[in-house]
Amino acid sequence: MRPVGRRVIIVYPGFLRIEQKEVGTVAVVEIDHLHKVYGGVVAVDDVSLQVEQGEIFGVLGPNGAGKTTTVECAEGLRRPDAGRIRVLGLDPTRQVHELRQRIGCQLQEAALPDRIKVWEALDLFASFAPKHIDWHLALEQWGLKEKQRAAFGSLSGGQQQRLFVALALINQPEVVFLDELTQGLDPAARHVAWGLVRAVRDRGATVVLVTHFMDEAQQLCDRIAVVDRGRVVAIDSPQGLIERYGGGVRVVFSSEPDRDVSWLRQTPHVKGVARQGPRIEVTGDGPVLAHVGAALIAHGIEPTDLRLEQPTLEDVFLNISGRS
Amino acid sequence: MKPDAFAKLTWLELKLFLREPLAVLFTLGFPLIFMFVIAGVFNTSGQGPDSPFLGVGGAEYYVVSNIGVVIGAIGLIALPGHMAAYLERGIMRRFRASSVPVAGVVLAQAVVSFMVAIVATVLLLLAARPAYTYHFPHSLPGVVLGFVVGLISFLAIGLLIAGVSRSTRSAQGISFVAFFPLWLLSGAGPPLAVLPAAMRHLADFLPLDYAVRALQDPWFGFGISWKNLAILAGIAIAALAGSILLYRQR
Repeated sequence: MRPVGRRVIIVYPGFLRIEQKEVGTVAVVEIDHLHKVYGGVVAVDDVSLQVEQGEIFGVLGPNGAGKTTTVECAEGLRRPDAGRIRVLGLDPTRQVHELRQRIGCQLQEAALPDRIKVWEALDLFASFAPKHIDWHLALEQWGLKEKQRAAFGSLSGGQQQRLFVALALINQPEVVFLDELTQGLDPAARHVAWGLVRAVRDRGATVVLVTHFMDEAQQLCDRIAVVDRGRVVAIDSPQGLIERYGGGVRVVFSSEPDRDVSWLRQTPHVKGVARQGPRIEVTGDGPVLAHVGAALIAHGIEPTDLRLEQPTLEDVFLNISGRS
Repeated sequence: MKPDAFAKLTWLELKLFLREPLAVLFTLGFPLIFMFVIAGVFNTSGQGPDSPFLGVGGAEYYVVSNIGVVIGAIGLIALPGHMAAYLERGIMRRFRASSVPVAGVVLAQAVVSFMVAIVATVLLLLAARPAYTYHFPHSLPGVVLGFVVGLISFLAIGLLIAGVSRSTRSAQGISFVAFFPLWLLSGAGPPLAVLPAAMRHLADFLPLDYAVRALQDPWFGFGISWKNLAILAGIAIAALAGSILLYRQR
């Protein structure tokens, strides 16, 4: 019998695509009720999350929330006190050697010897990986070509960061953990780094991105776990989080400081009016902008800077953590 | 661990050592300078059987015992500073996360340390040749055995110093505080025979004395001191066990 599977592949490429999409929902990182304590301090209280294949998954939260500890347990660098972790179906505690060959890690607090040269680091790490990309290629990809003979200690923060990402990817990993990737980068370098993260995902890897930058998570991530005080407080897409926890839209304009606008509260779809000096902020939902605009005209106010502000992940975080 | 990967790691560690001018200067230079100073002072003294120089004369005594200083300088000064930086700055974590094993890094360091120790010893003997008279070792295998066991023992101590240190600076502090008394009471400084009894007693508890004796005895024809070698091996095992525990936590 001729293998049916092969025929399907040739005749129904569309069907194949559906199959690939189904593969796309396989969890590559599964964390169930992770708990970790350092010397009496609870770093991670109770974290559960699932990262699906091919997505950029954000772990977002303030410093000290337990983000780094969570991913370091998944990387096999720390041993969980309780809970179950599987990465690519492997146990990071017991199958760490097998795991490390299939994942890439960019660590938050890590360094290389100051006097190691860029090419030497890439060459060394490549030689310990069973399958690896040509490091000359990595030099080109990450814009380190002209720095290949430079010592690690002489690189700028951005160059060091790019080298770390290149090292994390040298073994063609299936899952890449990036911990505070853009820490210490200037705005231009951050945008370059974001482009690189998308490029990594487009090459087929799953990315777990740890960050405390809300805008970074919003820009890059397909889904985000918001972590606070060692617990996951929400998991959703950035848009989903904003819709659920963003607290509605804001209409903002300026007026003279002594002008009374408290009557805006009676306008349909308005939930609240706040004022800070000349800045007036009206919260509401739905077509609130049109109603506020009409009401202002009716009262003879014609602000030139009337605008709608969408809530951001920052609002989401402040609302869920109760810190607003 | 793949052999070619380990070879690459060792070659890299050697290059990194050679790029540290202070470590190179100290391990190669200090024993050499000290040997010239002290062997020069005692060049012509103490040939007699009741002399403090084990009956071989000051010059030969100090040429040989400064090989022990090489061992001490590598284990107590060069290695701990290097390893403590690896631990403190997260270099070891970075290596570990990319399948470069800690044991491989330590082993590569040990290989580099042996190469440096051999070069420093050969340099010492060649430099002493025109100035001082010394004889070929009475038992070369005995001297090699003492050299190997002594160096392993001091490398293990160096690993332990790096492991207990919170930072590179504190490792360097411990290194220097440990090195000078050990060196002065090792027999490579003043001969132990001329020291007061209390100092001699103290030297019995300090390991560099055993490393120096493990070289001197077979060189001068007093045979291999298995007791000294056993003590050095015991120190090595204890320090290694402690290091393994400490490095696991970092």
